[in-house]
Amino acid sequence: MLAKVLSATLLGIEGALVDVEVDISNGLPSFTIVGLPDQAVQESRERIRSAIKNSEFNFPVKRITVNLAPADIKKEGPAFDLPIAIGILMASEIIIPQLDSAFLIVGELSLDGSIRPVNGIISMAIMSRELGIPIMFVPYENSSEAALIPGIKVYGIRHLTEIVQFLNGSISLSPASPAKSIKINEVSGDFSEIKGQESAKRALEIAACGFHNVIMVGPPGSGKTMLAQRLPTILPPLTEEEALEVTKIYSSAGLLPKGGGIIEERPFRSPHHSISLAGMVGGTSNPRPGEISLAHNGVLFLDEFPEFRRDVLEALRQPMEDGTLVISRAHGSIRFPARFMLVASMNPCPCGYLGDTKKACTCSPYQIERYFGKISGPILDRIDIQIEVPRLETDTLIKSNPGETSESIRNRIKKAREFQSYRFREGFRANGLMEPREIKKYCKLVPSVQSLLREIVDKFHLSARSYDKLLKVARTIADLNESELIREEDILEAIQYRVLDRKYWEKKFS
Amino acid sequence: MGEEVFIIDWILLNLTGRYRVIKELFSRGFSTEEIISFLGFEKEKLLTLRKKAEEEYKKSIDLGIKLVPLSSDEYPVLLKEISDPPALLYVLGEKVWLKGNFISVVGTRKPTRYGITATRMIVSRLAENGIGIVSGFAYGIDTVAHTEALNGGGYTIGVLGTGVDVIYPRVNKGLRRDIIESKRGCLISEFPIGDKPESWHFPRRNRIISGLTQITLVVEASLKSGAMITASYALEQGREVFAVPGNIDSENSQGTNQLIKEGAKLITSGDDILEEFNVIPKVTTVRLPELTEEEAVIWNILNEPRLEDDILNISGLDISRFNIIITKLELKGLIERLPGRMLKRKDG
Repeated sequence: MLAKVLSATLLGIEGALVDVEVDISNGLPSFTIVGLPDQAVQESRERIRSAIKNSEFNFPVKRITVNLAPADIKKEGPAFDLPIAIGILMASEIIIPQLDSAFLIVGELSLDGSIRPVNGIISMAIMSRELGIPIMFVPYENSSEAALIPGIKVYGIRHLTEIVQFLNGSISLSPASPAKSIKINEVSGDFSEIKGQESAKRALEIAACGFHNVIMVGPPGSGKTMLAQRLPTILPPLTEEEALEVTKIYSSAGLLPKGGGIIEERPFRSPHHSISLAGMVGGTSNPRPGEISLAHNGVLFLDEFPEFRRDVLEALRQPMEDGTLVISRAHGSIRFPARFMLVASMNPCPCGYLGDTKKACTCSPYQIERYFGKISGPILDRIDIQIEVPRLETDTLIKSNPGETSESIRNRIKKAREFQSYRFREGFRANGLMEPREIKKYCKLVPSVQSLLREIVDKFHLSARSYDKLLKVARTIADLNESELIREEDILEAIQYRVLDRKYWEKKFS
Repeated sequence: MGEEVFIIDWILLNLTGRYRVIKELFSRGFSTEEIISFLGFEKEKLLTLRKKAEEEYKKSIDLGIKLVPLSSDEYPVLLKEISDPPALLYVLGEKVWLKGNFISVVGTRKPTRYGITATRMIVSRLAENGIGIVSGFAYGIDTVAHTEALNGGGYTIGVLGTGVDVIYPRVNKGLRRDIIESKRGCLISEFPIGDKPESWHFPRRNRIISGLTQITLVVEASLKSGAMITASYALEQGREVFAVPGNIDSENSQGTNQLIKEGAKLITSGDDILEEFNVIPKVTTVRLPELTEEEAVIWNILNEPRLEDDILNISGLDISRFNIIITKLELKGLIERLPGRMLKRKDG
């Protein structure tokens, strides 16, 4: 007897259809799985045998061959347990499906027949909808996650007997309802909690409005991390499409909290500087999303930027430009979305106290030069906003006004985003991502500003590249002021967010 | 040809390092050959020395290094007077000591902001009025002094503790180029071409710094600083030591305050030094900047260097407007930024 069950696997973060074919024939009892299964799939034979037996069904004492098609993609993980078990039960005519439309099954089996959750359910649900498969059977704990995708019926299954009875038509189940939204960031906080540091806050507001990458330079304990952590709270809320993308990534990495749900918060990732290349960009032989993908549509915060391994930093270059990461493997290449806002932070010098009012810096100019030299030019070229975050004395903090709330900042950003939205119909999605061609097109100046700009370039010794960046930042400031042309004030303000260009602190002694 | 043999003799003498004897004999009118024979080297040793000297000579021509022997009219007059002048100076750049008056400015390699500001104030005033600066081309006060001398249009001499062709410290590469290209300065050294920075070189070259000038000014120095060594050389050589006072709780001012206690002249401005040279200082007109109302608010708050957040709090401006005004003031050249988001009025 031959039976065929539809199932799915993950390729990167996308679902891919897998046909599970089970053939039972006479002969010496055996149980073989073919079709590029990995170790976890091979082991599923033992789980399936026990699960079927412990659910009071007979495991056929015959020659069983299972084929996972298409045979050329690698199948990994335990999600095929359930479809294979169902296939065996169908082939041995214990199940005679009473459904009249196609259905798809995923799930890991326990030895007692209960069903355990798997990763990447939402991607598989999206795939089913696209392929027109109307019914999905998924582990109960994943069901509300799969139900987020409208247009398919999702049944959450707790135990093998449950699905067998349902397929045979002896019990009825009600489809799962969609999960609610969930939070993923450990800290979110609010900008009003930060006193002082007005320049840094304003710079982050501009960054959030134009999706500009940011680097913060300041001594330890000045609040760089605190500022960065609050950045997601002023970024405009995720659109529906973006939320789905983020949820897909987290689901496939198995990082959704129990019960799943849709992520409606912009992710904030802050990997430690000892992270490996694979951890940052994703990879190993079966590609998983790395930190840059987990930060997709959100913030990637790299504290102690120069301490990261050189190859790890260099690997950020391509995704910073394209918003995706392509990992090539022998069996083809896999795309991971990775459109993140980079927020880097570093000390002003190796000891951290250059420019501090109280503590003296003990670094030699050569050490400082070498410290800055660790960040390559091409990376720095992709960072539009560069600010200094000094350590504030208690005195200053007491006198500072309480900060503006994240919500009121976010409202300004929302307005500016609407103002700039017409620009993004042609493909690029934020001011920070403008290429020279677009800069020419959209960064038009009020005519009288031209001479001021020349003066600024001379005075602050700006290179051609930093000139472009200055225009991009000025463009976003103009958007916040709802001005179609870049005005004098916008340029004058923008130059204050380009501290690295001016190098005034590197010249410690002059 | 005779000239070449003569200069090679001087290189050889310099390589022996026995400056005191050489000076003594030379001032009594002995010729180079006589001095060499007086030093009584074995024949073999003499041959290797001569070979080395010949190599030095060739290298100096290749690298465009000028050689100034003790016998030369161009040898710095004041340096000739000390008890152990180098037999030969290697010079890269213009021989600017022939062109005017100089003073030596020395200080710590790790200055505070006060030390940097004081050096700038004093040196720029001196440079404007035609007094050149001799210093040790190290980090810190030395670098500030050289830079400010050039910026002020004055002359400057860097006395190195390495061969004159060696780039050290490496971060001063730009300054080195500026000094040579400006034609208003030079680097000099007593050490052979290509000599590495050895720790014992530096205290020793300090005697040249003080020896080149009548006055040595110590800006900021802790008690154990190399600048204090320079000051004691100056006293040994019968020269004058001046010092800039500082806070009594600042480690970097302990040395200078000590010098003042022992009788060094207390210096609070460049004009104090100009007095010594009988230079009547140029009157610099104090320009009153033309400011808009908002600019004036910030200018007035900046009567001392302040942290940006403090200025912001006092001024009551919003951050966007604040940054605009700061840029305007910067463009007008009235204020400047310091590391750590500090702002201050520009000197002068």
